[in-house]
Amino acid sequence: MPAILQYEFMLRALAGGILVGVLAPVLGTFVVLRRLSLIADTLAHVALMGVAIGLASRFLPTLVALLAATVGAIVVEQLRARGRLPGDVALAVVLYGSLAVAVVVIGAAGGFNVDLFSFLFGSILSVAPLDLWLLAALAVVVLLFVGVFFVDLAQMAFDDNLARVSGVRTDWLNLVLAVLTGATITLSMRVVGVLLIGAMLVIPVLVGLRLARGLRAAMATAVLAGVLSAVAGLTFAFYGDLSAGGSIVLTALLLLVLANLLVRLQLWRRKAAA
Amino acid sequence: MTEAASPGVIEWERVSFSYGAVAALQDVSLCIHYGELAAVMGPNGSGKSTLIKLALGLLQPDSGRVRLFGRDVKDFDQWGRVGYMPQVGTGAWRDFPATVSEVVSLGTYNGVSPLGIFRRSERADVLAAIETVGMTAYRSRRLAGLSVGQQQRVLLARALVRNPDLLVLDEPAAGVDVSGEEQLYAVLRDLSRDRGMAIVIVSHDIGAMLREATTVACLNCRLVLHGQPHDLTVEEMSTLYGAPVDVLIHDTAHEFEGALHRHR
Ligand SMILES: Nc1ncnc2c1ncn2[C@@H]1O[C@H](COP(=O)(O)OP(=O)(O)OP(=O)(O)O)[C@@H](O)[C@H]1O
Ligand SMILES: [Mg+2]
Repeated sequence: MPAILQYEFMLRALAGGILVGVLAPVLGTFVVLRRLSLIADTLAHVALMGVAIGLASRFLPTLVALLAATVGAIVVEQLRARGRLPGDVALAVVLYGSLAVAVVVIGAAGGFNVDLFSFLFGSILSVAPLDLWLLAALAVVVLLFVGVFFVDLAQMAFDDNLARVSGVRTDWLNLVLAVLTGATITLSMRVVGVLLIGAMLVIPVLVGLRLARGLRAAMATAVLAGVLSAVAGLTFAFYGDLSAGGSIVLTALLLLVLANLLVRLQLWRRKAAA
Repeated sequence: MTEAASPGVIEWERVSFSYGAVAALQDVSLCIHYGELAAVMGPNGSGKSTLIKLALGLLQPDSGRVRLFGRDVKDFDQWGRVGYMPQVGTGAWRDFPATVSEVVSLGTYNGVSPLGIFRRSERADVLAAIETVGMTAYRSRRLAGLSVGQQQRVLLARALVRNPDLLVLDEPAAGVDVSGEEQLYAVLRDLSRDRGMAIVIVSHDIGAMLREATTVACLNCRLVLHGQPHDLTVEEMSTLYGAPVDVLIHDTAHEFEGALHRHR
């Protein structure tokens, strides 16, 4: 058995990575198509504020972060739906506001420690069994939600107004989507970290959009790219003693470069044949 | 059926709307009926798209009421009866990964469909709608790779495939070439005359509207003019647009006699 599979913490990290590799691109597909990537980053910082409060109060930081991200998601979605987000300014205010609260809370509670560091950058050592169970439960909920409402979500991703005029209940679907995205971001923090979770929502999706024709195929390809990045990235991190989040995102970027090369190559060969 | 007796498909009743401090519409009352091909005209920023969005419940009026098929649009839920084609901004759907037939099949949506993820996109009605707008040769092409005019046609097919009782088109002919435009109006004529569909069309093409529409509403924040095409004079149109309007009627096949007498 390879060394990487002999440590329990590594098995947990891999399981967590695979779950994140599935979850983030599935929700990320809608985030990217609706051009909401800044919302993902904002939610990540709201969740970080939750983590900071949780760590300071020594009360289940993951659950406090989950709560904060859920409330944050609802607030941000309400702002978006009412057209109260002129450009990205309101989002930036929420993002930096949360970050400032996080920094102040941590400072007041006795400074930065290793635990916070693992939330910022991800750590293969820190994925706890509770995190895994929560991620697995979330995966079930997300896959069910996206499966049942796929057509509705596709309508919304194509054009929110057209979806509404077609009878799609965009108001509550948007809310559920925001809450699930917030939860995914929060629970992914242990694996890839706050600062890089936005990348996992976006980069595998870009790979999918580059390679696949239809929405379903793009999403499936994105999931493949996400899982591959997580597994390969964690393997690099383990053997090279590198940051987990950094390795995963760099692997995803590598896949994006390869996808672009592949498309170029196809174009070039078609031209040569013609 | 007289105008008064026939039920209104869309009714705006003393509607006002403003975006923050910018008043877009003031005290507009207007009614669209079955079988009517209603043109909405007016200069840029005169509130045409706003009027449409109010009718479809995408915006709520500051005051006044909007009714769709006799019901307050807030409580309206029979969206299968409505086909809508929004004003196309350039590149709005640049990244969306879908072929023409997949986009048109999005128009067949009629309520939540679990397992809709597995539905086929090349159904007969979808193919027929694509044929109607002359995009059959492009049906497996990605929407992103099409020209703006072609994307317009696809969106029109997406609205038509719903077989609605009310069709709302925001500048459907902008970016569409002459033959496409002729095709569009031929389709609309059939739908309103034969099928009795109510059609609202926003357009800057005064000549085409005076030729094709059965009623014309001219907006400039307020409802400036409303009537049949032959009721409008060149002088009135020129005042509306703030520039001399020279109505060119380049197709004499199906013009309204009255309009011609006035404008020549
Ligand atoms: N989202 C918005 N926020 C603020 N103001 C807006 C918004 N949309 C439109 N407006 C303003 O409301 C007024 C009416 O806009 P509307 O889009 O209805 O005009 P329009 O008649 O459709 O113009 P066009 O011919 O250019 O399509 C304009 O003054 C416009 O600047
Ligand atoms: Mg407009």
